[in-house]
Amino acid sequence: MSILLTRAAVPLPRPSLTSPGRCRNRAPQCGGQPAVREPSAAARAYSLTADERARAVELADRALRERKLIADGPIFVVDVDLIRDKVARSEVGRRGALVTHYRYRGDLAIITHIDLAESRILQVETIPHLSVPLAEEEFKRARQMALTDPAVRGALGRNLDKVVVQALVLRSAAAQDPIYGHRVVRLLFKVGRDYLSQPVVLVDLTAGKVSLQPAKPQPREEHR
Amino acid sequence: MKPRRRRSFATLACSAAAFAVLAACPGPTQTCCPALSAAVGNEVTQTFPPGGPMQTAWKVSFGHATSKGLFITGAWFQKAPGAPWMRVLWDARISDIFVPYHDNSQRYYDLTQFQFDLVPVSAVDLGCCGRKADDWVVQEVRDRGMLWKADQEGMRGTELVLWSTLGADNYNYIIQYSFRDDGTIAFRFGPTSHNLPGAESVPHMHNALWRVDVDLDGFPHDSALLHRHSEPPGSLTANDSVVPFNGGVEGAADWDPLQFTEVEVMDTVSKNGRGESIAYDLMPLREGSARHFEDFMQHDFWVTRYRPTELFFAQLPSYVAKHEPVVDTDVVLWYVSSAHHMPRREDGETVGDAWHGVALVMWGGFDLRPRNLFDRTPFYP
Repeated sequence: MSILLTRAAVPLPRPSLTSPGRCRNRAPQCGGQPAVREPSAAARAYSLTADERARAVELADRALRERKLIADGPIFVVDVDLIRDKVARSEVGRRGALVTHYRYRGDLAIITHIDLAESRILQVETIPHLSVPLAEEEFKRARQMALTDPAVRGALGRNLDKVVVQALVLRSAAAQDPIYGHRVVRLLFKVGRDYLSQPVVLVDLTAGKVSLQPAKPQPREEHR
Repeated sequence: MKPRRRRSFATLACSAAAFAVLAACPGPTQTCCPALSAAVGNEVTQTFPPGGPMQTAWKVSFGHATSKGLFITGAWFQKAPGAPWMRVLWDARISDIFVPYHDNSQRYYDLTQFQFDLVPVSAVDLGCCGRKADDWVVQEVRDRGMLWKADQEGMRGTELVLWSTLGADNYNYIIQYSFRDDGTIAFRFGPTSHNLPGAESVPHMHNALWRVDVDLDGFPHDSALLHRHSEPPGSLTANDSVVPFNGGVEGAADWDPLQFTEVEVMDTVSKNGRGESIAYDLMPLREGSARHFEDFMQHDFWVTRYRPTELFFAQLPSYVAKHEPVVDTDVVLWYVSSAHHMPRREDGETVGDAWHGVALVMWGGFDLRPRNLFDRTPFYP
């Protein structure tokens, strides 16, 4: 499997505060315009600039290569966050960044703490089985796998051309569960303002499999 | 008893000056909207009573980001006209929203596993008296009912409220912070919207996992304490104890309804005018305590020493394993507030292929209430 190190999943610079991909808010794929504004001074104090973000990701990528943490298989940048470390007499703190990579191999979050003032790596921490955001590429891949699957297409039937696809990540807490440690996406299908109860589609991105959950005898019409 | 001739503070809340913001609101009567100050960038300053002679004030900065929701990046309280601003919060946020379904068919982390954003503010969000702090955050000053009563005297309380809606696919979460005239901060979390497709009738728990970095009058010299109430069986007396949290080191504690468990953060240096240490109490507002399979869900309160990169609630068991002191240092409070959702007919119905309807908001959260911050109440003339 090829190495895939991508930055496209990094959220847009604040305070645009919209992420691409889901058909919500004013995302371009929903026919709207992305809500990008010039950040105010106060907003800049509490968010990363585009330059800081890019520099943080570059430093983190380098740190991972140096530490040989990039293994075979997909790895994504899934989050870049401002860290305001406290400094006496500073109202806003010392600026740092926390870059989170997600690596499929080992279901591993790799979190790199960067001192932005000195462009220096402070810490690289690896945490297996930690909940981290789904990268946009992962969502697109899951959607594409599902919508080209004959069983899913058949199950969606007349709704196929109308649905807006959304994603939830499924995690298992039990080590004996077949999906434990896998990147599994549950897809939701929205028509108008309501959601289809069926099909329930799971995409195991780690195993490259699409499956339909059998319909349960629900929604139960009798609520106690 | 004759009413005493004291100035009625009740009239202040709706005084002419307090009508500075009069929204065009449909309905037969005009609405009394308290005076709102404008947000400057991501910072709001609000004096109390709104529009009246200032008694107290809050200055609050906020932020929001994908996968983070709405969070507070600083809060300062002014307890009297001319008093210095005193920092209360360095940062406060929901660090995650954990939603396990009872049948274990799904266990979602609604903040950290997705790229969920805030929903842009709509007209219905603003109501009659709200304004946009920015395109994603509603700013309101609300009348919160009676602050106190003494026969026919009384005073209405007000609060600055900042709130947003996190769009989490089929679900929405209202994240709300209220900064009250008396120095209290109310943290609220309100799940709502469409039940999970295909599992509309499966009961589940919405756990808001809060991370609250309290910095009383600055970040050093804070201590975490635990309040417990006890009424021994057969005894006619009761006792209250205040002890160092977890023996004075990082760890966890459980909420016990019989003990009225609370956590206090006390500054060991800053005193009020009577020489008493200033403090804030974390006061739970809860229906019960969720205990899921995960280690981080085995307790209700956690206290850690501040370390800037410790942001993940699920990592708390490893964070507290260091057992560092939480006395006279810089502490962070972590708290679980749970909304137990047993679906009901009011949530919706199946219409054709789809679920039609929304679950109404279920509120949960807690208050941070000052203790000995004032020398005396500023609200009683």
